[in-house]
Amino acid sequence: MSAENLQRIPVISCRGLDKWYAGVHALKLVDLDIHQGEIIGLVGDNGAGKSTLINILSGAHPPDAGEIKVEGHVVKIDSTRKAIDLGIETIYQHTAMVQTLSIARNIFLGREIVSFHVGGLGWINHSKMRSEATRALALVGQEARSPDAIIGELSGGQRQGVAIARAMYFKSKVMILDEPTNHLAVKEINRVLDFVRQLKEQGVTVIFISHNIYHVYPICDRIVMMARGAKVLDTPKSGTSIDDIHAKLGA
Amino acid sequence: MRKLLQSVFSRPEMGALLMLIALTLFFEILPRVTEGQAWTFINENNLKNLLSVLPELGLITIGVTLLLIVKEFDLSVGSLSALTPVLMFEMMNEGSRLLNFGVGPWVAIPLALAVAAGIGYLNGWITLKFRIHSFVTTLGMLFVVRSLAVVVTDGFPPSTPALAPILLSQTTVLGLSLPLWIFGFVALLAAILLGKTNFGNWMYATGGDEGSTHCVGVKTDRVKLITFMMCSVLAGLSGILVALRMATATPSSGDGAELEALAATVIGGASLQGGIGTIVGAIVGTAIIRSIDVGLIVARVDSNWFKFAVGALLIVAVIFNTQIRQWARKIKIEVKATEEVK
Repeated sequence: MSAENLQRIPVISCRGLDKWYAGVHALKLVDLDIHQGEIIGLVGDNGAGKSTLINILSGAHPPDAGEIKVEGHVVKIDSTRKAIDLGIETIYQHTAMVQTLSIARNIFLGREIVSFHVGGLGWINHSKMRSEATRALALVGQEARSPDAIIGELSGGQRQGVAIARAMYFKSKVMILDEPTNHLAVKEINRVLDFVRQLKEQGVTVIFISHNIYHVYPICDRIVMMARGAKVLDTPKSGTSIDDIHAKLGA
Repeated sequence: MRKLLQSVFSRPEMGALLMLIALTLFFEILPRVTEGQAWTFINENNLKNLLSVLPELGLITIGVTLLLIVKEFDLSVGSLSALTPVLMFEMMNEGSRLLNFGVGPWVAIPLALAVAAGIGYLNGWITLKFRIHSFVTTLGMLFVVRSLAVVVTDGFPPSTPALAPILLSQTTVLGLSLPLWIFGFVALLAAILLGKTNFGNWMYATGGDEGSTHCVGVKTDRVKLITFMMCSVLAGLSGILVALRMATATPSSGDGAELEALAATVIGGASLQGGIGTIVGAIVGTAIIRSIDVGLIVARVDSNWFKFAVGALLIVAVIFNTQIRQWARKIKIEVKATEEVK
């Protein structure tokens, strides 16, 4: 497949995704195409269906109906592991990091660097894991940070940085950021937005979820808005304005 | 220097280690006050006594610590430490209720431990399948397993089989008893598992934040299930060591051991919130409980004070551990502040 073709085939293509949760129609026949290198701003009020869509793409819950293609191939994302193996990394609001573990142990959690293994039991190569963790941190300009620092002692923005570093290190194709700027101070928000810009520079596709349009708008290429389980807006940023979207969100 | 201090004191077992030192000094001084003479606590005899009783509670404590690291409880360990040796002896006796031909000890021991592993599997399966708290599952199993131990034996200890390797507990290698070697070996394996393997990383992560760990693709239920089984096997092994030392398997043995082990685990610095705990902590926690035992005898204090001392120490230990960790964190913040000034 030529590079040109790859450009045209969406990284992720969803058709007719549908999901019911305990009698609630959480997702109504959603179609969505995401192209390589795009930053998509996924906005909408609480309960609009953003999380449902993300849960399906990250393998947390299966859809009731619909089809997902990754780079043109039909896939069944039936576990979080499967999503990660397909190159879709999700950073949840609570950052999917274990607070009691060090940065190095978190970055390689589930993908530990082992010297040798017997069956599924592997002997961790701690020094390699620490040096590789530092390499991963360097991808987000955090190489000065000790890989032994405990995640729980970092600020919210720094934690997002580690999560993003992890995804960059493992060369994820698509990163889903679930409300990465929630509950952060202004300085920290800017830090996270910088991380996202770095992702784009490296050609990573980003789905940035937020209910705050002011965080999403400056960095995204395309805005997708959801309401009551359906996609109600899907437009390049150039075709709209922040006030326009704000008005639609409030409607 | 500060960094070293910080990393040393933020280790979970540090509080327990300090307490063990304080306790040893206390018992060294106490007899001089109560008896007015120099009875010493720190001597070869007492150390030998301590080391001979350490493995039995220690093995259970290691199991309970592993399980607490993945944020689960096991209250059935005491009952299981009675059932396992009872089964082992029954299997070895000819014409017993279980088998009408006797088997050798090297068949009976693995079979009995396999039953223990099976009960661990059941504990885990029920807890994880039905999403109920392991406190409830294993509390139920405490009664069920205890009852089984009594039913299997009709309430009387099975006669001690002629082939039972009773001498095992009296055998010494390089001056240390065989049970102590077994304990040391198990402790080493457990410490390696926790610190050096990917499975250990998953255990700490599962206990620290199950949701996040599951999100990165670790099969957290499987990690927990295996840990439940390890805990049960260790409890069974402890029971076998007790039975061989006493040369009898009592169906009422190990009564209350689950709470002693939990106390030792918590004193050793493991967190009830999961994700925190070490094998060194488990050993030190066990040593503290056993030192109280030996210490009170040496000081000729009424042994009825034993439970009082353990209980009081448990509460003090948790407060102490929390304080010491907060203090260690403060050192770190100061270091950061000075670094940023530079």
